[in-house]
Amino acid sequence: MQGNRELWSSIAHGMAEDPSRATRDAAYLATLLEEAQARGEGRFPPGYQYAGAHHFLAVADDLEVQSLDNKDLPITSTGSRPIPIKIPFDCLIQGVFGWAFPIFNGAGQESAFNVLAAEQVLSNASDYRDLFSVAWLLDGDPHFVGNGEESLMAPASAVIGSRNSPRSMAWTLRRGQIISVLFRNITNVPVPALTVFPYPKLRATVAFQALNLGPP
Amino acid sequence: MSSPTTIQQAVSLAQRMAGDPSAAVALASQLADLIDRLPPPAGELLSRPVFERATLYTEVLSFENIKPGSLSPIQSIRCQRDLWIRGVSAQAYPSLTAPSAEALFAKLLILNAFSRTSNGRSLFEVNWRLEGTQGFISKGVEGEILAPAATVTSNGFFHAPLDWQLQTNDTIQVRIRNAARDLFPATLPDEIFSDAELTLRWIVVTFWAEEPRTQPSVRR
Repeated sequence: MQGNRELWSSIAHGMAEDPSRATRDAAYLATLLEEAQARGEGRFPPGYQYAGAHHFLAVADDLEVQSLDNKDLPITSTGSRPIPIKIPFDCLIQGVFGWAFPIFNGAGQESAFNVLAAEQVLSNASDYRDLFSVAWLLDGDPHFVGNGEESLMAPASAVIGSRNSPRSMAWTLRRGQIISVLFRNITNVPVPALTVFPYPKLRATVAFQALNLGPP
Repeated sequence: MSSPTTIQQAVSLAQRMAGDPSAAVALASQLADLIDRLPPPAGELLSRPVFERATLYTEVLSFENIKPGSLSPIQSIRCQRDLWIRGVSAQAYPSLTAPSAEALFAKLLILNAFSRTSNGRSLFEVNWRLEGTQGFISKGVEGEILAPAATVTSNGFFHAPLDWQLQTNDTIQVRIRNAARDLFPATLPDEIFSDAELTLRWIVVTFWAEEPRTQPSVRR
């Protein structure tokens, strides 16, 4: 169907640029559009221009740091299991954003002041997005976040938007497709030999904004 | 907000144009605009470049353990498909150590204060080439330079726009320089931050990419 759109657009722009083509191609384009309408291509979901009503969330609770010295676990990968999102209806993914909350629970926590101070200074990105890395696969296909050949995880601050400014996307997904979201707690990257208190666990979330493309 | 364009509107307009040559000339631009604004049909997984700033792919370049003042080796991405690069973001991390929580907080406060930007982008400079061709970050005729990442990359919050249409097997080459030491005045004792601490443990540059829109020629 996308090819049809491009053909229609190409013809129409050609007509707009050349009056002789406008008179010659008008009937042809009208026929193409009528045929498309007869095939049902005109049954677009109403209200598509509005903000998505749905959020599909992948939530990783109690996400712990992983060793940076493990040669079998490069910094661009994770030992955590992917969090799946099974798409419940045909939808248009319009945006993606994420956030994390550091959780300081371990022994050695000196005071509430230290916790507050750590929360303030550990992160240098909005919504703590630099404390976790992320990647995702669609139906197992790893080519959406990576180097073109394999999936590579990257800090969420460079992959997804914040709650205030989601990253714009436009994927049409069908019911039953699966987005698998990978997470890694990387609070140990800027402080690799932290001994003064335990690394915080994270509650990290990636949210996809979605518009239902099903019949109203 | 105007109501969504429908194919019925396009059909009606095209039929009117087909029956009236003068209308065909006068309304051709309007019809082209109508077609371009048609909403997406439900269908296959598909990225739609007609959506402003929408991106489907994230091309990731990862650098590790770059010492202060050092240049990284060049990292490359070879495009596995035609891509429309729409923006670039980055993130960098130092490798701090401290004997106490207070000392660690103080170091992080000092580093963040001198950085003045988010995502640690002040800590490095960056340059990229397309297909080995330099000049995309330069001083004009004086040639290629490395630019502060804070000025040429985004933080994922706003968008540092790019508009490159690349083809399958085209390459993007990126290198970076650790500029962390440049943040601080010379009077700041080096022992506050050792070279080991200002070694950038991880730097990531991500290019946000779309599938290019093709415009097939009309052959009849």
